[in-house]
Amino acid sequence: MSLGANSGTYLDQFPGEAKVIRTAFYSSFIALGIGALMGLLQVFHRLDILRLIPSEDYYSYLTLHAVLLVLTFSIFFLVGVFTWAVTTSLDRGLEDLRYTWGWYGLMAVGTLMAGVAIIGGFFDSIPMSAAVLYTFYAPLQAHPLFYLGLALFIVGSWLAGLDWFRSWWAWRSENPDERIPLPTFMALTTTLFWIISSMGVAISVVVFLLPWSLGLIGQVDALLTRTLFWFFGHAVVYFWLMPAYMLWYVMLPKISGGKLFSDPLARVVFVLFLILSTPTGIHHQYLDPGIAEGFKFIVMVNTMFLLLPSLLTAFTVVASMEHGARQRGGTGYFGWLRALPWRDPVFAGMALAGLMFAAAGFSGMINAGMNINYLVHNTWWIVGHFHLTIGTAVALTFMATTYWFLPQLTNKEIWSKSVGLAQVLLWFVGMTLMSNAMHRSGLVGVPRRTAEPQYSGFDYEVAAGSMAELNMQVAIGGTLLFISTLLFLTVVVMTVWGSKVDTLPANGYAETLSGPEDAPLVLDNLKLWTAIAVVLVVLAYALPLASIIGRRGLFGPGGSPSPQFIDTLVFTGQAIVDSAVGVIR
Amino acid sequence: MRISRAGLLVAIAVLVPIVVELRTVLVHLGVEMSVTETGLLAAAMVGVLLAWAVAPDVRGRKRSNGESE
Ligand code: HEM
Ligand SMILES: [Cu+2]
Repeated sequence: MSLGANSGTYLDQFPGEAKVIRTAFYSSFIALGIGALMGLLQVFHRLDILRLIPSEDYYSYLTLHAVLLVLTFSIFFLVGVFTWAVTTSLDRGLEDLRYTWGWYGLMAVGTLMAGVAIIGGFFDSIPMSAAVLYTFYAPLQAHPLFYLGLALFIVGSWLAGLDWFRSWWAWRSENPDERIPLPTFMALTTTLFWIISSMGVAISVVVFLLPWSLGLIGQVDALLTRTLFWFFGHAVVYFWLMPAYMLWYVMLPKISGGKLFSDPLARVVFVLFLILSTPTGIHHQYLDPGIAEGFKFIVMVNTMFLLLPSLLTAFTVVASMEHGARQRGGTGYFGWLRALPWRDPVFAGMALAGLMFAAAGFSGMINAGMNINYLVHNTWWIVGHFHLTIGTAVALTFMATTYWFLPQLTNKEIWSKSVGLAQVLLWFVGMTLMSNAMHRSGLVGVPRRTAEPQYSGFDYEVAAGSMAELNMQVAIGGTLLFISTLLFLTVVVMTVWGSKVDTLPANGYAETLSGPEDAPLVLDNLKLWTAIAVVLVVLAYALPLASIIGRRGLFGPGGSPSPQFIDTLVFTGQAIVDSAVGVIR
Repeated sequence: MRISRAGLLVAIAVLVPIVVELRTVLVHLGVEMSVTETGLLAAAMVGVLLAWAVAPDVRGRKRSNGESE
């Protein structure tokens, strides 16, 4: 990598950028702390161990938990990571730091607005609430401040993406013949599908939900706004996951003492995510009436294709780790595992996060199958699943890599690596217990999103063990996770508290065994891949959306009539899809 | 030791999901284990792991981990 020019830590290289990234990280850690507390309170409330608030207010807990964790914690952290990735790999600072602070400010103000609206729900004296969960399905309605905050937050994240593009454009004009460095390539492809997909939720919020909560329009269509939400809702999952993938590709091999197995393969993976992330969202709506089975079938096929880049990742990452271990003297079929740097929480945390992600992949395949989905839909199985993906593969990777980033951003040594190791192990064990029990509860029908899952005169019949044991597992697991979060925050605070040292390793990332020169040039053609992504999105969504609007109008039954041309489009499209599905079957 | 102390700790953590899932698998094979029995099984597995870790390396392979703990 062309990092030779200026060595030292990231703070030495880019002091101004380091400050923005640090601020974004701290914002994300505050959200993590509050969010984790809500998680613990939810566990206690549902199991009737401790109920601080009446059950009617439970959705305020749940909204705060999910919004703070999946939007604030993950996205603030990942904009920091991508900023690090772009500046480090292009070896140049951002174009204009005032602009950068601008998007950070928009995101921060947006979060505060949404947060205030949600927290208002806990107090009778505050005439505000947003107990609409992070999916804000109509007819649940939040205070306008909530939607406005979300809109600002999303616009802020778009401007962040533009910041990375500006860096790349400037770099490209100075280095016209060079390949896009891998980390920048990853940040840019991710930005592209993020912008495409979040258009859906932006339209839903700005055109429908916000005017509706302001009283400007009388009603919205539940199905249309849901569909627009899920247009974004699956891609957002990959928005969280791609930075974790990037860290597995460019950081894990370095920490293992080796090199990334293949740069071209990594590029292929990110291109696949760019084109497939969005035209899959309807797999969250398998049970929604009003969307034809044929469309759902197409989406299921797209979803199964998405397994491919994840399997490619598993292969490349494990191969890179093995390469690293053998460089460190590891031998044997499995013996090399012993040569990995398990003492380092950065490594141990990322490796365990990856392991849990493999388990999440299996439960994800169940979710993705149209028919088996009926068994698990809206049960605690789903909650168990995504606490492995976003709640561990992403969250644990972010926490683990913090132990690497924080010294780079502050020039201070991690306060205690042993506490760090204990922290990542506790998360792993806690999540094993909680997620396993959630999955198994879901199989016998325990619902998600309810304050009181127990029914009188009815007992769940658990396949193995008993319901009481599963509940106990959730309580213990949730508690361990909360303790782990506290340990994490302690290490962060104590590290920042410490004094600067000048013995830290230099900033950088993994080199590759097979570099970009082996990757076909076409992989770097972002315009081409964006065009293909848009075409696939149109193919997957034009007809379902047209058919919803055609039947129900833009504002739902009784809202407004539908334009005639939409009916024609729907009729023709439906005929084509029906015959296509007929052929496949 | 054949494995670093940190490595051993990680291995014990990884045993947790194995034990938890094993219990479900065994039920489907007709073997029901109570929580206590599962705990005992886990303890036994940790014991075996510890014994393996501290036993001298029979093949005399050099300890592959550079860390001195
Ligand atoms: C301290 C650790 C955590 C605990 C104890 C915890 C606990 C829970 C529980 C019990 C629920 C289900 C509530 C219900 O269905 O009624 C839940 C939902 C959820 N959790 Fe967590 N969680 C934790 C960490 C996380 C993390 C790190 C993330 C993501 C980064 C996350 C994201 C979510 C989301 C998105 C939901 C769904 C909310 C909804 O249904 O609207 N959680 N959590
Ligand atoms: Cu999805």
